Amino acid sequence: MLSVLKKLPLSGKIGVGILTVLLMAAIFGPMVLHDPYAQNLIHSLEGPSAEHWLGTDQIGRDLLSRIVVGARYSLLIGIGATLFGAVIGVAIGVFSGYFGGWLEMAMMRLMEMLMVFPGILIALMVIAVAGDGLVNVIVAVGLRAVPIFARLAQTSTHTIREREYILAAKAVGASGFRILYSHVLPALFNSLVVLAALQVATSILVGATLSFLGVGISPEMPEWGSMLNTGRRYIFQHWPLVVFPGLAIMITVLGINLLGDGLRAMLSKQHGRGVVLK
Amino acid sequence: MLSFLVRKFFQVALTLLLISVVVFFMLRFMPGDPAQVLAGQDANEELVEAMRDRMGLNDPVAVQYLTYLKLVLKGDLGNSIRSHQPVIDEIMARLPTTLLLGFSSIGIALVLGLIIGIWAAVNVGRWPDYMVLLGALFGVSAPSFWTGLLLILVFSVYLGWLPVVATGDFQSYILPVATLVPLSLAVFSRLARSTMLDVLSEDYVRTALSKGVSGRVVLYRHCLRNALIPVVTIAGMELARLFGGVIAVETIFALPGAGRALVDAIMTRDFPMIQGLVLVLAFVFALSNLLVDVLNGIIDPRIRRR
Repeated sequence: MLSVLKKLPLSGKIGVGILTVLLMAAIFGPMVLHDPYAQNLIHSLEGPSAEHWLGTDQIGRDLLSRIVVGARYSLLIGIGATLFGAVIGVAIGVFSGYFGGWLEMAMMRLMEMLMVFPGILIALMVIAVAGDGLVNVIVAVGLRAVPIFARLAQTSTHTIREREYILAAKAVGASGFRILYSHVLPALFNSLVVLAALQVATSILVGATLSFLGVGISPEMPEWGSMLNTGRRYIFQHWPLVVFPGLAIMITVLGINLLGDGLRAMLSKQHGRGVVLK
Repeated sequence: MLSFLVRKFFQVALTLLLISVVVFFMLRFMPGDPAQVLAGQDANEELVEAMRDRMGLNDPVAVQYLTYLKLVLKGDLGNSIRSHQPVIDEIMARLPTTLLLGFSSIGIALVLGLIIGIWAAVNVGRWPDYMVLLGALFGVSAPSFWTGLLLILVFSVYLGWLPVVATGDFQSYILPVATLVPLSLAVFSRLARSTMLDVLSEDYVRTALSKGVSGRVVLYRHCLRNALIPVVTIAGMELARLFGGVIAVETIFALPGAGRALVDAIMTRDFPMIQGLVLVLAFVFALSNLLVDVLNGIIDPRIRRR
């Protein structure tokens, strides 16, 4: 783990730094800060002060603690949706890429079709059918990533399956599943990690867009997107409500993008096993 | 070229058919019985059953789908539960705003992205290059709805130059488009830069330069066309990504577009409206991807033969 950190380019290290601070704040922040749900109507829409560093919202809740707690939701949606998309997408891609034939053709055509549709449209369709709720949001956002992972896994598997070591494994009688699990998946690992990192960033953005539109997540929750949706009604009176939650989204996504780009640069320099990254 | 077009056309036709199947089944998975909704909450069981019969809900699924398809082909998407008006009329009234926002933003981003990307590639390793890379990093990280709010904060609230709420004239589209451009611009300029760097190190570029062809001619005659291909290829996907921003912009600037209509329909559970909007929007995206494919076929003859 530490050796990976050392090999990352500077931008990647900055990304790791940003994410570490964010994660610490998300975990421990709520213990030392104000209660993010405590209302105080007398102190509503106050500017930054020693008591409330970023001021208060329209019903007097501490903006900083709400933003810090919001990191939990954003990271949960981003990572959860990516995992969902990765597991299903990689399964589809590896399976169809390895066994090939008409299954591969049909699956990949389907994935290509899905890829040209807006993630937000797919997410909205899922919410329309399944209803609101955090889990539904994670699935809705994650579904968007399925074809992206599937295509990467499929094209990589397709090139790997003709390699000598796969033929050797087949020759000694390893079953299809065993080959997929212990030979194909590890070879995909590097490129999947890079894609996953970048997909976490996109998923956070799509998730935040959903809640900004008022879909999926209850407006009571201190989620950054829905905080901005509430805040925009006070854009003439109180600017912090529309500036800071968005800044939090941007810094988080920036950190993840830096880490993803850094990982890509590091891994594409490493030779040896694995699939060449684009 | 003709066989390429025919092939693409059949691909799109297949996509459209698949979309109609998905949208048809989407309604069936939705909570609530449409017959109950139309008959009213306190209708008795017989009335609901009669309604179900009349709506064809007791027919086999395949028959129901074909009936639905026939109606869709005639342009009948049903009536909105909320306004009781034909869904298709409302969609057609709102679609132009969405299309205008989407296509003008992607067009501006494409042209600017190419210019900026090439500029960065020519100056690789110097300050313009670093500036572009840094700007692109922020561009892909800022959610467009936030960009929009910041633009309002600066240009409407603080400076008072531009209107907050759209009035329909040219001025009211400046901030919405300015909101949508940065994200795609970042993606396009980064891609144009990296492709350009690849192209610049190609043998044919070196040959042309050593023959004495001027740098400017090499850049525009030999490199631009090759740099254009990947940028146009992802334009379809970028348009799809942009759509989230389009809905947000319609919300922020109170523009009556199809994206916001979809969100409103979901919130009020107006199922015919949801179904119709998803269908039409999916059609729009399938068709714009056809356009991208054809454009790419024109730019790059190799693609046509694939």
